[in-house]
Amino acid sequence: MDGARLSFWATSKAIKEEIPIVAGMPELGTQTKITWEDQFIHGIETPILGVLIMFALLLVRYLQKKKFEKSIQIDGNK
Amino acid sequence: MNLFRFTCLLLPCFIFAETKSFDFKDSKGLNTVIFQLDALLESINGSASGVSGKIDFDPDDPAVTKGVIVLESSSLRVDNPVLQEHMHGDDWLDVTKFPKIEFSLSNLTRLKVQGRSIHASAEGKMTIRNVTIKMSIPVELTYLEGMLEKRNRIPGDLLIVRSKFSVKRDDFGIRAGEYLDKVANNIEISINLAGVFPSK
Repeated sequence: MDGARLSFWATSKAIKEEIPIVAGMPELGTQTKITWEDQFIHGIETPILGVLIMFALLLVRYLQKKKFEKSIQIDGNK
Repeated sequence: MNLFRFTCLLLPCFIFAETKSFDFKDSKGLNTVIFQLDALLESINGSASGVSGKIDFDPDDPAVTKGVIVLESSSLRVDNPVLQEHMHGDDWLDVTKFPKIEFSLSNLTRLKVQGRSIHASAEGKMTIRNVTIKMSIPVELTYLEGMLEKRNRIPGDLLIVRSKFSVKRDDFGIRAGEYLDKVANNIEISINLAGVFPSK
């Protein structure tokens, strides 16, 4: 599946293929052959995880900055 | 004397009436059941391949068609492994305790012939999770005489059974009345099965 899809992570994909019931005579009807292929497909967890990681990194950076400013302030007081 | 005449008249019916027992365990692995149900975020699509069973079909009298179609519940598959685990688990289908889903066909009603196919209502009983409910399912049967040879290289006939119907999980006690906002009650089922009758 191409493009964005609003669904959860999937680890397999159903590949559907129409097979004639009687070989060479599709006018008699077909049957759907479903083959499950192992494949990781991204879902909504991916952007959610991305946003969470971004916030976590911002928080770490903010805390580091705070710590750094505090250490400068202490050094300045000395 | 009357009894003798009556027997003579009926005898040809018994001689020529041939009920064929079609086996639905397909060696080609194409007999599949497709299911779909709505969920909160996406529709759940899956398939099941563990189809077996036998249907007795008489081309001259299709109304008396009867038999059983069995589906191994552990063969139900979806694309999400967590979802599949839940579906097979104790709370939903409990595939270890209830390994089979069965439809027992007793007869066909409202038969309508359209070309090669017979459209009818399959009267029978559906069993899921040991809960049996009487059901009437719309079916399309196509009898292909002598076509097994072209499909499986064995002389014989084919019987194609197609149907689209829905079941309610509430009716079979599958988390009845629960999670209706997340997983729909209605399960759409689509079947397209080929049964084989090898001639001896």
